[in-house]
Amino acid sequence: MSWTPGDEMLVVQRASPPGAAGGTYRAFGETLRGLKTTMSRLVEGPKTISYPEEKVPVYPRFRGRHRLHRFEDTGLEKCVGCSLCAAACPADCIRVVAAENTPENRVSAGERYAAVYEINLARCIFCGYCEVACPFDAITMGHDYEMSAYNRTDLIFTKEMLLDEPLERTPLRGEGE
Amino acid sequence: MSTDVTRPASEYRRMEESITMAPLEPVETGDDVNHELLTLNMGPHHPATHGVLRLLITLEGEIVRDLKPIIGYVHTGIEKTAEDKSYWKAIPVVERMDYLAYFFNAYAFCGATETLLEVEVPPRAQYLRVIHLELNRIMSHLVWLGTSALDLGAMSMFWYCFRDRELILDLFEQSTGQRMHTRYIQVGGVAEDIPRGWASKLKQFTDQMPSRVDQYKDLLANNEIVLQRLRGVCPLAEEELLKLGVTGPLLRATGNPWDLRKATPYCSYDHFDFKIPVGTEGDNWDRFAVRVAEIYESVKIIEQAMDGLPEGAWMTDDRKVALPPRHELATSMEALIHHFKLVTEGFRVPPGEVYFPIESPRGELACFVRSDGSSKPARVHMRDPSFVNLQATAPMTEGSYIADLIATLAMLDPVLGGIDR
Amino acid sequence: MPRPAPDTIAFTVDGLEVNAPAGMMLADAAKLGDVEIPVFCYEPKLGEPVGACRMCLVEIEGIPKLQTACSTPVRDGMAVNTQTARVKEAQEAVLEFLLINHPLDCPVCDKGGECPLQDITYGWGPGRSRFIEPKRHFVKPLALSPLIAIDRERCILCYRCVRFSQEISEDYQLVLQERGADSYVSTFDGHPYVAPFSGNIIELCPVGALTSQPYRFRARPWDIEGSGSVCLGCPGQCNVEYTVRDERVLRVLSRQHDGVDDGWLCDRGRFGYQSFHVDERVTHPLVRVDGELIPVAWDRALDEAAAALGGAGSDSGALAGGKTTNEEGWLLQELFRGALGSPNVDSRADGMLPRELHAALHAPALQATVPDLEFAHAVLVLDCEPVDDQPSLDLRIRKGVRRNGVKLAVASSRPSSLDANAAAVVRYAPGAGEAFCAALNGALGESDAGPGSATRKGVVEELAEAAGADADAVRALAAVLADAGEDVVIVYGERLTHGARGEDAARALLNVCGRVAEAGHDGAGLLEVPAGTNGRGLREVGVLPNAAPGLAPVSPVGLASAELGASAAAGAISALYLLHVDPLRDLPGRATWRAALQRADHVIAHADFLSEGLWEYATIVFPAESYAEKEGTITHPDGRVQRLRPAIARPDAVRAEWNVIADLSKRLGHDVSVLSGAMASARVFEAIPFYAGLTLDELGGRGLRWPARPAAAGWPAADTGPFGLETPPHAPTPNGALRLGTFRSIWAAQEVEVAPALKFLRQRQRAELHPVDAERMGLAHGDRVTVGSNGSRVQATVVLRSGVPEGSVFLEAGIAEESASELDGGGLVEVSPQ
Repeated sequence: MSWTPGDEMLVVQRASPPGAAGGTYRAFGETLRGLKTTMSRLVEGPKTISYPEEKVPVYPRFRGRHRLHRFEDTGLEKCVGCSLCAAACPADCIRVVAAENTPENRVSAGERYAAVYEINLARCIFCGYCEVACPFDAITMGHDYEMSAYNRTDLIFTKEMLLDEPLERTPLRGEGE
Repeated sequence: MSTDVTRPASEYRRMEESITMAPLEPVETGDDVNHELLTLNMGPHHPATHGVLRLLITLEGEIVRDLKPIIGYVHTGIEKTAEDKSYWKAIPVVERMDYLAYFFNAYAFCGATETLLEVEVPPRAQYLRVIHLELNRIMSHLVWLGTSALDLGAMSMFWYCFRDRELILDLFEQSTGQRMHTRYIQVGGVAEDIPRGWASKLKQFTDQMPSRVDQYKDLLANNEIVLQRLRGVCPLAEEELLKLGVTGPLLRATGNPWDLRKATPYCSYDHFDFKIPVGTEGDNWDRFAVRVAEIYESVKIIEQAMDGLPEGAWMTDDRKVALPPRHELATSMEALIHHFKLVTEGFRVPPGEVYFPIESPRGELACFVRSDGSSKPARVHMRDPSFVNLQATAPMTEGSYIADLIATLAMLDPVLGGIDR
Repeated sequence: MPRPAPDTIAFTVDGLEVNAPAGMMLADAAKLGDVEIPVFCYEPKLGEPVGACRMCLVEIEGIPKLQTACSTPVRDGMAVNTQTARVKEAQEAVLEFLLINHPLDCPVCDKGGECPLQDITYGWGPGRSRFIEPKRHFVKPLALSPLIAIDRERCILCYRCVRFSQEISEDYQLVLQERGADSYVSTFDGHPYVAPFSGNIIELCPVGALTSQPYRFRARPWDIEGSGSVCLGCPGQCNVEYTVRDERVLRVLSRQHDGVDDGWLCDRGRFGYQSFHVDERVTHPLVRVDGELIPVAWDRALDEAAAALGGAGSDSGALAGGKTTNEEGWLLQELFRGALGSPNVDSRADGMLPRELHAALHAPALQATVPDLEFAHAVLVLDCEPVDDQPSLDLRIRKGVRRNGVKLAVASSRPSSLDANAAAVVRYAPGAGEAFCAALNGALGESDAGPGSATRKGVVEELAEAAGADADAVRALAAVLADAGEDVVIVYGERLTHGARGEDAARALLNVCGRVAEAGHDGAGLLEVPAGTNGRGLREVGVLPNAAPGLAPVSPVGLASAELGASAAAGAISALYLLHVDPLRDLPGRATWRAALQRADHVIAHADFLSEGLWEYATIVFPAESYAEKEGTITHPDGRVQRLRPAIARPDAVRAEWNVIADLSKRLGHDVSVLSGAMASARVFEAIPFYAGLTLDELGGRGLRWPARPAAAGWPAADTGPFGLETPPHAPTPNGALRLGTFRSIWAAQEVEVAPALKFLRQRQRAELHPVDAERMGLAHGDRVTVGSNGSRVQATVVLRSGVPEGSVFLEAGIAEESASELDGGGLVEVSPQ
């Protein structure tokens, strides 16, 4: 390798060899120095929390379980079943089957709506591409991270489950906190 | 269970039997002690293998005479999977290879793609990338330091390192939305600008990190046990390492200052003032010291990048590559069509191939991408440093004690997610 | 007419030297140099370019203004630039204009993801909009027809659909209304656009303006897989691509094959796929217990079928319908000839032709191909209606006439939709095809002998009278054929050779052919329109009472379908095996067949739907595969062996039919050792000398014409005439009654009745009458009448058509209710008001 960085190189300081006379000193002196660190950190107090009674708050950008949204004024679903989220999903965990709105059965604002909207959370990698892909802000990544289940099929979330408000809201931090 | 050995061998058994050990003869010592060779399986589920690595070791007493690393237990086929995804969709996939260097994985892939596309990345995006990459490097080194110290018997180091790592993960969560596998780095820039308040939080972190590393050094650097386990243990000469293709802290520990950030600056690394820590002997001690010193340098880089963070766009304005701004989707037909095509089919990359190397925490991480002109890569290959470095295990440890093997493996810092891919 | 063989010229595109045929349009020629020029309105299938969309502007050195690449033919030495700033600016400007009025519909639009407007905008268009004003609005969505939805906001006025309607299908329904920004596509008076080929405009539309109603919102391009196969709807055997999602066919697209379909599909083929997934479909084996068909396990059904067939032995007979593949047909005749010792297998609807005549009519030397129709000097359409019998031929003939000046002659009893394009038309009495051929032969001989040959002259008159045709019209038609040139193709319907005198009709046809088309001359000859989809293939694999596989002689000769029916009605046949055929629906002589089905001890059928005859009389029903599930080969009327590939899994208990027949054969002690579909194909290729050496790989996705292979030498030699013929019988004189002619329209099919999208096209019986006849009987358009003969009656609605020859009435056969096959008698019927 002919390349030399010149003075941008920093040779690390080598410790003295173990054993010998220094070894005896280190066995006591250096251990005490280490203990100093331990003692000083001791007063910091614990950083652990009592989950699940307490929950770690998440940041606004946190990507948790997906949520589907409705228009607040009309109550119609924002999702039109365009399947862009399914196309964007790198894990292929979204399945959308669209259908046509009729005057008797109006589900969404446009011509079409999602008759089936399923996310397999067992497969989801929470990359949030679905949120990026959605042209109508109909799907967003929510803040819930508690998604364990006893059964794999329970992890397939249907449209109704995704439209519902989550039971327990995850605490949210402000942007700057 | 039948023990009939005449049964046709299963595929697994054939594979097992294909592992050949060096033809070793017991050493004739002349005394009456029977120096029988012992073959020992270490792993794949062993705490000291830092993942699902299996080592087939031939021992003579406590001396390692031969060693074969056996890998593939977490092979996920990511390279092949990436060939079936558009470039955009491949980013979160390749990110998951080396799970301690996800920003590096993503950057290697995006950088390769950007080279093929000849896309200009705006300066702000480059600085934001550097900040996140260096944070990631510190995070990776902290995991290494904590787990390695654990291997050497230092329990509290593990907690300290992971507590500091938590600060970095918090920063990641705040700016990218996810603690790991953030898909923050995108082709043409980064996904989002950093949020309000992030800069001050980062400042807090960079202010306190050097003193934290000082504490770690206090704990370990002159500890007699650590010295006994590391200093002068399992060195390997620079030429040997170069022959094996080993890069990163392992190579620098021998005094070779090969660091791609300096050697072939990418992503504005030439804007920053930092040094390359190198060792002298190339033993476990130097490997340890080089990594610890790198944390200080990374902090310096982050501070400089944050101070000099340019204003402006964090994503290229090339509409054929970058998604259009969301607010245009409701008004502009052009924007909607470009959004639709980029999301569903993805941009097309001109035919060609590129090898894009960067300096990851473990050495030269490179992404090779070949494009056939379509919207999916024809071939994606990652040169993962862990994979290459792992080859040095046997030459490093031959003739050493098995206890030193554990320490050497720790100092080697292999990440099996990257090795098996 | 020889096919054009243009010179090759050299030109440069973006600095790259490219060779292209002279006269090729620049948009196509640039592709030879790997340069893509974006187009919207240009579609070579639609004929002459119109240059309406201006998307293809390029710079040609030496011409100051930008030129449209779609309408500029390449010339030697031309230098074309597609990458200059001027071209880029023009392309961006055109797209900006197109997008100004385009609604922001991509997320809801069915075309999204497979939309040329999206692709071209992304590839060549600007990334940003400058336009912020309101867009043009139309009422939407609207139904252009029950099958097609139209969204006028999305239309970019490329004229493709209008051109298709005006110049390809020539139904002249679609027009562009209004001018300027108000322009929109519609039918002239706003009635629904219902036409046999209407669905093609969906595929032509480069935006989401015309979309399929049945496919509406069903799937996105990334949800689906395409699977190529062949449509089994009619003998046209168009190449199709099934769009499959979740094991369901959701759409049928054309898979362009110039040798077969020219890239068009009829609506029955395009929308009939819905019948694969309806509840009415038989998906389990059924056995009749106490008068009811109940679902049973396969073993029981097969055991009972084997016992029934084994018990019947040679007192059994089998009929194969048109949707039977070559493999199934071959296995069927193996089952009957090999396992049961019964020679009674047939695939033709009516009558038996001698082996030699089969061999003569389809001799490779006399075989015309489908593309020949496009480039012939003259085409005679004889006793068939292409739009009903093989719709793709209709478009091909129209294309030849419109673009290449092919002289078209039409001779049929029922007025044809091609009459307007024809240079000569002859109407003759229903069933008088033989007499017409004889008359035409006479007229052609007359012109050979020179004008005014007195003795011959009387003969033509006599024969024309026997045919109920006008002698002068026959002469005019003969003149068209004789004067056109050496490439003359005769397209004839299989029904010409049906019936007791089919043999004579075939000989008369060969005489005509011998006069106009030279044997062995490429581009001339005969092209049959079989009655069933795979009619030709089934005859070749030996599903004939008088021929074994490869048209080899057999002894003893079995009963043809009509005789089989009569024999079964008389109680001489114990077991009937019906493969994809319901005699009550598909065959003439309903009364006889009803008696036959009633009398037979066992009626074993393969069917996907329980049509009337099976519902009432079948004792064992095996579920049949839909044609998207089938694997095997079929043979196109011009000899092209094509491969069927399964697109979806078989539903429920449905089994591969080759497997069922092979299983039965094995149970009856004749193991044919066929364990897979590919093995069945291999056995067929082995058994037939002129298929020798074919492999499925060689057939590939495009098929292969066996007459063009060396193995065609294995076709049995036969005398192709001329034959000396007796005088054909005189067509019945109406004498107050009417001659009955029957036809089967494109919509007379099971899939039309069950597919939800096509149900509105379900045919009701109508009696087509000449206005003079109607007036004589005091009938008006729309009156309900009873048509009767010999005690059998059919209810119908009067339809007046001036093209119907006087003294004839036309009724439809093959429909579910009041089918014309109910009537039998001497070809004369009484029409009386209800």
